[in-house]
Amino acid sequence: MNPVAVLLLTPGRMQVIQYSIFIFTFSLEGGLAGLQVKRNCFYIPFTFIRFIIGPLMKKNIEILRNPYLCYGCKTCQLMCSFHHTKCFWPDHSSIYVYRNPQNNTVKWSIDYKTCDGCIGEGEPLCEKYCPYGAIRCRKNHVENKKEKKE
Amino acid sequence: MPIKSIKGCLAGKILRVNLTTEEIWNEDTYKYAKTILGGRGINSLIMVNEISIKTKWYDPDNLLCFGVGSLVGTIAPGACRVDISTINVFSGGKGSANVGGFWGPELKYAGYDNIIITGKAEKPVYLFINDGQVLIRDAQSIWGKTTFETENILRMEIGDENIEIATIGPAGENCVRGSAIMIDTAKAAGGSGVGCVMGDKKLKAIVVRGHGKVQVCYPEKFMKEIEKCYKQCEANKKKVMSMRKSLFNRAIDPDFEAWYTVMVKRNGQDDFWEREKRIKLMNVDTGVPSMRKGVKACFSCPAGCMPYMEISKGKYKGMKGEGFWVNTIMAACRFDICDPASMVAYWLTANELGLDTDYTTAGLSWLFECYEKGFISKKDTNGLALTWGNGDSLIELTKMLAYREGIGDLLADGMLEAAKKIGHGSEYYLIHVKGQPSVESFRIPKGWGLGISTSPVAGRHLRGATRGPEFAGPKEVDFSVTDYNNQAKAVVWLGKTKELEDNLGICSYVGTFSGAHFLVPSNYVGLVNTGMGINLTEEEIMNHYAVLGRNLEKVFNAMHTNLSRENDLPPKRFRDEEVKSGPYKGFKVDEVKYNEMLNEFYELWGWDKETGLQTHQ
Repeated sequence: MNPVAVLLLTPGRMQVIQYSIFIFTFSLEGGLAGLQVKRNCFYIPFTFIRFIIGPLMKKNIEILRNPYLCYGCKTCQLMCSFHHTKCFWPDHSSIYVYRNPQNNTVKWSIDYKTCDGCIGEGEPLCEKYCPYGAIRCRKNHVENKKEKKE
Repeated sequence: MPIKSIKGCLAGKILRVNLTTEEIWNEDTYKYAKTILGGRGINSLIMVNEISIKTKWYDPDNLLCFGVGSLVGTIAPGACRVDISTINVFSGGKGSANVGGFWGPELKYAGYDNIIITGKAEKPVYLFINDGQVLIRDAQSIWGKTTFETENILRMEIGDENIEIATIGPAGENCVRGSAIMIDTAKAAGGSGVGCVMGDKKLKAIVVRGHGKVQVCYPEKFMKEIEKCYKQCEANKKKVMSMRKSLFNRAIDPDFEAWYTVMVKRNGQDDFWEREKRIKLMNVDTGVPSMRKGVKACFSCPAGCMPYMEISKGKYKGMKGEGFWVNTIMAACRFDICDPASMVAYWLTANELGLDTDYTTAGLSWLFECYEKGFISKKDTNGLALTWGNGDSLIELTKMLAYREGIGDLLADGMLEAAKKIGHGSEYYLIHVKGQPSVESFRIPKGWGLGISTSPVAGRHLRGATRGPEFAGPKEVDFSVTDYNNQAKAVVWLGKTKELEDNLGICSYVGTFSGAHFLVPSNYVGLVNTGMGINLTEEEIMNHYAVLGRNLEKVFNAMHTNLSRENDLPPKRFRDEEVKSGPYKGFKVDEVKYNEMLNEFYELWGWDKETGLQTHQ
């Protein structure tokens, strides 16, 4: 059967199309960037893990921050980027931190599309390296419900 | 062993800007970094090489150098410091100020290790660095605005909340000598009048946004070193927890050691502040701690120490912002002010106007004493009564200084100049080291006095000043705060580690200065070797790179000034007058013993004892 027809006929076809475009563009980006960045030989495999293997093997994880303990030092953002790229690159982090010194606030958010729960690191690096103990990771609450039922 | 190649940690480029011709070009960092690792070392090297002997701070040829430490941008604990170097507006020698925050790492992510600015703009401008793109933009709309307003306007104008800004306030624009460059509205690069030089160049701000990365040579090994550092922090849990409640937290205890050793009352009339006043200022219920609404940290710092203050009642209700340090308490003691709201308001006002608070405190407390002694009257001060303990007058006077109004105009050209104009022998009462007003104590803590007097950037306590082995100094040297013995060894050791920390960009509170010893030289060796891909030993890093950094500053001073041994002595007032009350009654700087200590100090650095200058070696 024609694969295009399969895509169009399947009930959740929009998601499938989006996902295949996602894989295609990022594998392209990985290859091109690998050519551009000569010094970083890690780049290709890590882009591959981040964008292709990552979403497939994603751990069911939830990352929580306690705003009362957080000092806004951006260590979590930095360590997240280190997991993804093996260098310190805040723009390639799943965590985003913005600190406003004029009103004592810290904006913090996490992008679960790119967070893979730190595959291969043992434990999530944001939790491990937070000096203030402000980050806690736990299994997704959907799973917890299942556990409770059992 | 000379460094052959550096494979990580650095961004690799130095940004050069000529404001007169609006030329912008790049230079390679590695050729400098191989000699001195980075940060302030590179600034010093460039200044020694490029500033001619005849150049003064107000000449267009003077360089304003921003240097980000080589470990900044990585996860190394407390690696966020930026060094700002230029000609010192007070002594004419090397001027340098150090600041943390988020600006330094952002510059690294934008692809630059240092910025070297020369020339003078015709009209106010600001520099916008967005990765490789560098623009000189018109700053008419923000000229005259306070540091808080400038940050808000620039964020709105550029439309990116992630930009980081280093700016001067009205004080810097008006070339008030002791003005600072402010980062994140509260972190001040204050010493040496760097803000004054920036204002003189008509450069209002440097805005940075970076999307790049910082790479380390051996990521796995580097992370192992980081884990060692984190374990050391864990081991000092008690110290860490106390710092995380902000630095002034220890002073809540009215019997805290620093209350007795480093406080100078009423511009040096005494070194003992009454217990009731301490309790009134630092009372948990109604004092300064009640205004602390939170504590925040700088980039990648495990020992957050920046308190966020908000005044909720009284005359200054509604004022808020970051900053209240041990220096603020020193200022309270100096003016004999025990009203907490006035002190918080004074500090926030100085931050807003872009003033260096040490300069302001030392200079204005001298003016208070002139008023007390009758050298000046209400006519000179626009009707302000400069009596001890008067916080309102202090805040008004601070504003007059920043905007050069009334007597502020006289003070803005430097306190020494003002003393000459006021006359009546008022120069004797001005506490200054090499021309720069100083808030420090010299009579009781001996190592503190030695470190401050011999500082190459004139009268600041971060170049080796130590307050006893409990706070800073090598663990193996035995010395006490009030004794002359062995102080020189500790001061030299701390001077070296501080040089190293400034080259690497590590905050001194995380490093060796706070006494917590979170990081020690062996950690620096590990981090540098694995991060930069070089192979150095602790011996090399302490006895070659650190010594070279200090000597470069000394060379600059020798080339540009006539500073000699007598300029390394404490202010005359502290040599002549004794402490009048308290447990250390009768203490003063004993010249004979101090000179012995100074001899040992010169010997350890390898300098000439007679002149205090470097030897041929």
